[in-house]
Amino acid sequence: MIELINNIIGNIHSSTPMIRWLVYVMVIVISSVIVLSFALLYEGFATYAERKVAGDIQARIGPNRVGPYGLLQFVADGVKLLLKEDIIPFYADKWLFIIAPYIVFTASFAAFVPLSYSDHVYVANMNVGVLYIIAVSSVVSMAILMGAWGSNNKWSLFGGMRAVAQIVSYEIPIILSLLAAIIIPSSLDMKDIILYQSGGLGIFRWIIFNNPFTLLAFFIYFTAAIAEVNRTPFDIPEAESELVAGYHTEYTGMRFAFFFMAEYGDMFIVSAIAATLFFGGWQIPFINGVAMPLWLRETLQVVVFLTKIFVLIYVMMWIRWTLPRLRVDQLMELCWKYLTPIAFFDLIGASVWVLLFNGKGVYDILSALFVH
Amino acid sequence: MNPYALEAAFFYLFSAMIIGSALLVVLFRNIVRSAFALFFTLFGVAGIYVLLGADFVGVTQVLIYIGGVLILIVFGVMLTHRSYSVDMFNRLGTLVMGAVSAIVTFTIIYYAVRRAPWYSVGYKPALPTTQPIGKELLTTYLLPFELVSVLLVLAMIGAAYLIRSEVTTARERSPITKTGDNDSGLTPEVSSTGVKERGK
Repeated sequence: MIELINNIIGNIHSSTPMIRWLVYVMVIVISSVIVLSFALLYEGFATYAERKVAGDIQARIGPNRVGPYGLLQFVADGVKLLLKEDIIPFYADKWLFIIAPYIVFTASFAAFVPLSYSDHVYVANMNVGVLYIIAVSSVVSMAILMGAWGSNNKWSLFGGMRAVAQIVSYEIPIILSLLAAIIIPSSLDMKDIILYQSGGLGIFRWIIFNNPFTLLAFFIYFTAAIAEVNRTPFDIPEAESELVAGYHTEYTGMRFAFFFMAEYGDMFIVSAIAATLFFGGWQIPFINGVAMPLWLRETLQVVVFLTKIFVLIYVMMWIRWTLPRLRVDQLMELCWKYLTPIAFFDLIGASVWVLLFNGKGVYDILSALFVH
Repeated sequence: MNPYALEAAFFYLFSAMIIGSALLVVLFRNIVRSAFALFFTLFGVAGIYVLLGADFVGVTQVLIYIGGVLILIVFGVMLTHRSYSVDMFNRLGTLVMGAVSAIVTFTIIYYAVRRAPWYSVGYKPALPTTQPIGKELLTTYLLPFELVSVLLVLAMIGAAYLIRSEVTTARERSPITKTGDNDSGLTPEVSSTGVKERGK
């Protein structure tokens, strides 16, 4: 896709600026539409998968009425949510109440942009990709607070404050553990990070296997990431038994759906970062892709990348339906007394490793021993 | 057609966003709304940074100012007892003083902008800035960088100390605060000082 666009732009580079802008705007619009449709389709199927996984773990069948195997359940849900009455509470702060879901959804969707789906399939290859995703997702917490305040409901406000306190706290172990991984390829660019992990049968040069500290960093990251997307066992912002529905108590219909979709979007983003930074992104394991025709290689890479992401999402769902919820103080204790110090130790350890072994991973060192 | 027209369009878009929302910050009577309007101001500034090719600074602006500072401001406003129901409108007497200080500030900035020797780089594609920034911070500007981090550690220790001491005194005075509900989603320390203390 991008290659094609580059060719078109390259050809018209000599043409008038007017046409060049038109093409740029068109490229932006078209790629946004493609990514948005992908994101929405994924979110639809993710809700279906979540219910199927829940059913499986609780020894039920799950949705099986709409379409084959209940696969079209999310379409029915979408139609239902669209047809629901849009209620704005009389004493709500109307402006904040109305714009909050849009900001949540926009911020969550904007994080899809710098992801590198394969060698040539990406929307924007940003120099600061990882940092951009972290920054954009921090806007979500702001918008949650906005909606929670705007609802003028004590459950909403409690939920919103909990959500923000949680997200802000857990951002620290997340960033520290990501830093431990980022110093290995020493780049924030998603594509550079993935390219660094090529070779070693497409598995052994993954950053997670680079050294013991990056292995630890992944587990810190994943634990904190589950908290960051407000899922059980860390879902105190919307703890049903205490807070009705947390920060989206007052939201109905499509506005509620925006919050809901943002949660699934965040799950994808969080897993995509883990897949990119720790599991080699779109590197195809065991198969040498160089000899393949381009279309086959690209397709395989996209499939490999999405498979890694969906496995991680499955683990998140699995955890959600298995573990009970933590209490508020336990949650904060886990973050500040355990995850953050361990993440600090881990970052120092990874830095020392990079200094000692000149940035070489365990695989590089071992293979250098045997090759000579 | 002007080759910079697209950049100019985005510049005016972001400027309008910054100025408009900054006006809202000042004009809203509800302090929470003011805090939320600040969101658009800070976002617009990030947009200007990116437009100038400073991608790292722009993204950091979003991360630090929106994800950190603004959240803390909103939190502070919400946790301060009844501060959100205070009428923020100033009386007429301050209007004159406000106008005078606004005009003076504007004049100073206007002349500073007019007289500054602006250095034009011409049209260049934006280059990655992360690595040069990192290198400069750890070589040329190492001392200021470390001093800032020491300052931040001091601020953190200070904040922790303030909260700690208040909790112990509160606990000594009444045992109720110790077992008080910590439902506000904060650490026990913060909620027992911020809410419980003033509630009594």
